[in-house]
Formats: sequence, structure tokens, C-alpha cells
Amino acid sequence: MFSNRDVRFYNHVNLVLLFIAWITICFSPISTWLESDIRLHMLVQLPALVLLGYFLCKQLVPNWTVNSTSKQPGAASVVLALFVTIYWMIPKSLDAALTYEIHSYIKYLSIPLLIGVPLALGWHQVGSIFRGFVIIELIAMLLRLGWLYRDSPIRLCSNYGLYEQNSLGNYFLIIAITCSVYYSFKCFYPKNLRLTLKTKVTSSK
Amino acid sequence: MNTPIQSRKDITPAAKNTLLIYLSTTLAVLLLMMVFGAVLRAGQAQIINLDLTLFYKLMTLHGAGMVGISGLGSAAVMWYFLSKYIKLSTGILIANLVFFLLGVVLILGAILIGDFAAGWTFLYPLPVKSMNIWSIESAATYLFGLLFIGVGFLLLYLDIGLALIKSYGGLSRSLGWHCLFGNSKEFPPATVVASTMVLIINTLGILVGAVVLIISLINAFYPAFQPDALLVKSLIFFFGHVFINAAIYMAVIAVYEILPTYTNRPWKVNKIFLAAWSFSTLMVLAVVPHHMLMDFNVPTWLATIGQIGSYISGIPVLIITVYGALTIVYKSGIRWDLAAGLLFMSMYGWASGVIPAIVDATIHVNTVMHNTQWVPGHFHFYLLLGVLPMIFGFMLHITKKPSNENTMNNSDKASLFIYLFAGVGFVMAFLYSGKNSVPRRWGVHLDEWLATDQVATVFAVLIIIAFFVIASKFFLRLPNLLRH
Repeated sequence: MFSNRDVRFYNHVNLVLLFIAWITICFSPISTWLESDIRLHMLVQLPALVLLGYFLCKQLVPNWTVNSTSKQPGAASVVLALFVTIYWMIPKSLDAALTYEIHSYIKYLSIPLLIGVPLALGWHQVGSIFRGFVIIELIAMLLRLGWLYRDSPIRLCSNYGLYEQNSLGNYFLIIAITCSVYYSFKCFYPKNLRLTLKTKVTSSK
Repeated sequence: MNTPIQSRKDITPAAKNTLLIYLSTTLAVLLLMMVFGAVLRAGQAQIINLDLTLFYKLMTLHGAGMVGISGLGSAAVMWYFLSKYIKLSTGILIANLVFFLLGVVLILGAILIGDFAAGWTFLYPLPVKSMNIWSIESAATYLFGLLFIGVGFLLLYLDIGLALIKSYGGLSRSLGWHCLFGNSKEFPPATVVASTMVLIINTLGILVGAVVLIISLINAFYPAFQPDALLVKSLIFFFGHVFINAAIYMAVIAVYEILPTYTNRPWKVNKIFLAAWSFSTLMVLAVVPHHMLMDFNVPTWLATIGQIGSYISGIPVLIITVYGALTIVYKSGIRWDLAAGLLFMSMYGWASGVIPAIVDATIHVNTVMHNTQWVPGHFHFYLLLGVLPMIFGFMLHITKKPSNENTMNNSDKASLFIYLFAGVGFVMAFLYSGKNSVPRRWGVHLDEWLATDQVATVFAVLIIIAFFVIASKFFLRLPNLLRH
């Protein structure tokens, strides 16, 4: 068993590690490598920044709850995250982030702080219907983007080649189909899935 | 004595009023769309001189309106009965209505003000290549209208799905798989099984629709992106096919729930019933290639799936439903009234409407018949004589004051008879024209085709008269219900 002091220590270590990860993703040769290919940029760097914000928030305010029965604060957080996500899904925004330094800083800050943090604060505060709607819309958006990136005859991001763009479209489609299968299974067998995961966790311990 | 809807204590007054608004909206839109349909046939028959642009505008409106409103009316049927078994949100029911009405306003604006006339199917690239008859903005408004309607239905299905998962422990159980593949005897009610099927297929359908609608919008504003036209077509037809099938499967719940109250015999759910619904869940999705049999690039194996799947797709559910309806009515001493008569008639319309559909799904027939009036013949058959009587039967049943004797007065008998007679005549005119290779979606017909068109127009007017009598019964009961 960990003592409270140990927990505090590990929390601080986690926070430091998260900050180091943030710096590494944004200002190191790894960042240049991640931004050299649209597939790495969109499928690794951007989600990593979101996760970074998410875990940072969870680390700093682990038990954050709104002292209200209303779901509105949660909804506001998630809606904010959605709008910022939409902005970063526009190919022109991605281009700008590669071309202008100031825009790249905006990306490094806005994705963790305006997508990851609001999701960490709001996702579990909103109702299941809202969450379900966002998930379905996310799957639909991945399918649309996949189609668009696959079939667009011209480069949507002028910093990347057409082959990488088309390939990214395929990845989007694969992710969308995987998510659909996962959530369909979850709807059909919610208890079994929870049971399977719990068993795995217990056995791994 | 209260009417069935008034007697329900488990749903809020707001939900009851919303359901009544659903039904009122359904009837009002149906009347309008029926009139437009009659005008279209009168125009083809050259009884009236119909401007061709107006013809295609009305055709677009009639197609989108009828499909959408069948969905709304059927959703009211499903919600009303499903809320007996699971707790559903009144707020979401209202939200669906609001999104639906917003969508309708956009679609009406796009068509009546913006002159959009590409057909409900909005097949790429027609919406963006109108030869200056309508603008890109009109096409976009129409597409946004459909998107709004889809959003409303998606919210409704999410609410239903969540409630089913909470109450039954997953969709596999609400489909009854624990009974079908296990030894459990805890059969879910027929309504729950049917609703689960609808939820599964229509969520998928709406997801596909949401993708293809936005892709069409991207193309409208970014013409350099030209999606594969046949892929767009296939996805649009997947969305449309699933949506209208879901409307039938939602409405059939009225038969499962209402007919037993007339015959005092319960509608029993058994393994065959569960197997039939599970099978149809899969097959409704698998038969979509029957919409693509004329596409040059469809692989033979896919076309074969479309054909064979169509033969067996709806049959299990159809047989167990029609057979079930016949057995619970046979020698039950049922006292008929208009609602029971309409529900029973719907079994005929649904079962018979499937036959020309199956004929058209045969590859060799399809290559000759698909672009003829045979196709409107088959879908009018099971919508006009199948789905609509289910919705009418439902609305008359839930608003009827109970009495010891169910009666059918002369006006009821006349309206039922005229609706059936004129309905059959109307669809037969379509099927006969199809048999004679009269093309569908043509505003101008050859002289040789006019006689059938004229007969169809007369039948269309008779249907509207019968519909008016049936609808007026509901509207006359409405003020009392709303006051209550």
C-alpha cells in the first residue's frame, strides 16, 4: 500500500513527466519528425496533445465535480472542445500551424488546454445521450474525412504530398470502422465487455 | 371513461400532448403530400397543365415529405408502446419533433422558394448541376433540412438505445438472443424486439446518411472534390432504404399491441418470432445491393446477394406477423371498428406490396423494370396500404373512448372500403404502367399512357376523400384530448 506521501510524490512525478512530454511533443526533434508526415501529425501528434491535456487536468484536479445537479457546465466544456476540434480539423489550420510560428504555438497550447482539459472536466458530467451523440458524430466525421482525404484530387494541406494524404484517408476509415465495431459490441454486450476488461485487469495484477 | 392515451399513467401529460402533435403533424403533412401526389398524376394525365419545373419540385417534395412523415408517424407508434416497458425521455421526444419541423421548414424553403427539384434522392451531381434552375444554396438548404431530420431521429434512437441497454442489459438481450441461443424463458415483449431492430438498422442508416449528406455539401462548396458518383448513390440508397424500412417496422408495433386488445388473445413471443426479427435485422442491411442492380460496376456476387437477400429479407417477419394477426383474429369473436379494420387491412397491404418488390429485385426483371412505374407501384403498395393504415389504426385506437361494443358505422365502412378499393386501384395503375414500360419520374407522358394516368388520378382523389374522413375522426377528438 502507498502512503499519502508516496501518492503525492508520484503525482508530482507524473506532472513533471507530463510537462516533459508536452515539451518533447512540441519543441524537440521528435516534434519535427511528427510534423514531417500528415499521418503522424494528425494521428499521433494531435491526439497526443489532447491526451496530454486530459491527463494533466486529471492530475491537477483529480476529483473535480460541479456542485450542481445541472449537466450544463459539462456540456459547455464538451461543446468548447468540439469547436476547437473542428477548427483543427480544417486542413488550412494545419497548414498555418506549419507555416507560421505563432500559429504553431497556438496549436501546442490550444489542443491540450481547450480540447484535452475541457474533455477531462466535462465528459463525465454530460448525459449519456450527449456522449453517444458526440461519439456517433465523431465516427461520421472520421468517415467523411477519410473519404475526403482519399478522393480529393488536390492537396488539402500544401505542406504534405498527395500520397500521404490519401493514405491518411485510409487510416481515418480504419479507425472509424474499428470504433463502430467496438461501440456496437459495447451496446450488444455491455456487461460482458466490462466483465472481460475487469478480468483482464485483475489477472494482470 | 378515458381513452387509452388518457388512461396511461406512466407517461407525462407533456409526452401525451407531444404524441398528439406528432400525429396531427403527420396527418396534416400527409394530406398535403397526397394532394401533391394527385396533382403529379393529374399533370402526367394531362388533366391539368402542370409546369415541368413545378412537376419536379412537387415530385421532390412528395418523395422527401412522404418518407419523412412516415418516419415521424411510425416513431410516435413506437414511442407510445415502447414507453410501457422502458423509461423514455419526453424532452428527447420533443427535441426530435423540433428538429423534424426545422428540417421540414428548410426543405420547404429549398423547394418552394429556392426551386430545388433534384428528387428526394439528391443524387450527385444533380444537386450541383441544375442548369441554373436552382442555386447551390438551395441544394445546400435541402441537404441541411435532411440533416436536421436525421439529427432528431438520432437523438430519439440514442435515448431508446440507452433505455434498452439499462433495462435489458444490452441490445442482445432486448433482441431476445438469451432466449434464442440459451435456455432463458424471459422473452422480451414484441414491441421491445421490434424497437431494438429499428434502433440498430436506423442508427446505421442515419450514420451513413450523415456522412453522404456532408460529403454532398463539401462537393457543393468545393467542386474540385468530386466523390465517386456510384458510391454516393449507393450510400444515399442505403440511407433511404433503411429509413423507410424502419418506418414499416416501427409502425407494425401497432399491430402487435392493438390487435390483441380486440381479440383478447395475447401476441406471444417465441423463438421463431425472435429468430425472424434477428434475421430481418441482418437482411434489411444486406439487401441494399438490390438498389444497385442497374449499376454497371456492381460485381455479380453482390448483385446476387441483393437478389437472393430480397427474396428472403422481409419474409420471416412478414410471415410471423401476418400469420400471427390471422391466428389471433380467427374465431376470436372480434368486434370490428375502424381502427381494427385498418390494422388488419395493413397486413394485406404490407404482404402484397412485398410481392412486386421481390419481382423487381430479380436481376433480369430489374434491368427492364426498375426505371418504370413498377417501382412506385410497389412502394406505394406497402406504404399506402401497409404503413399508413397502421398509423391511422393506432391514432384512432388511442383516441377512442372505450365502450363495450366496438362498432363500425356507415361512414367508417365507406371510408375503409373506399381507401382499400382506391388504394388498390391506384397502385395497380402504377404496376400496370410499369408492366407496359412507362418510365417513372417523367413529367410528360405519351398519349398511349394517358388512360392509366387518368384512372390513377381518379383513384388518388378517392384516396384523399377517404383519408379526409379518417383524419377528421381524429381531429374531432383532438380538442377534448388536449383539454384533458
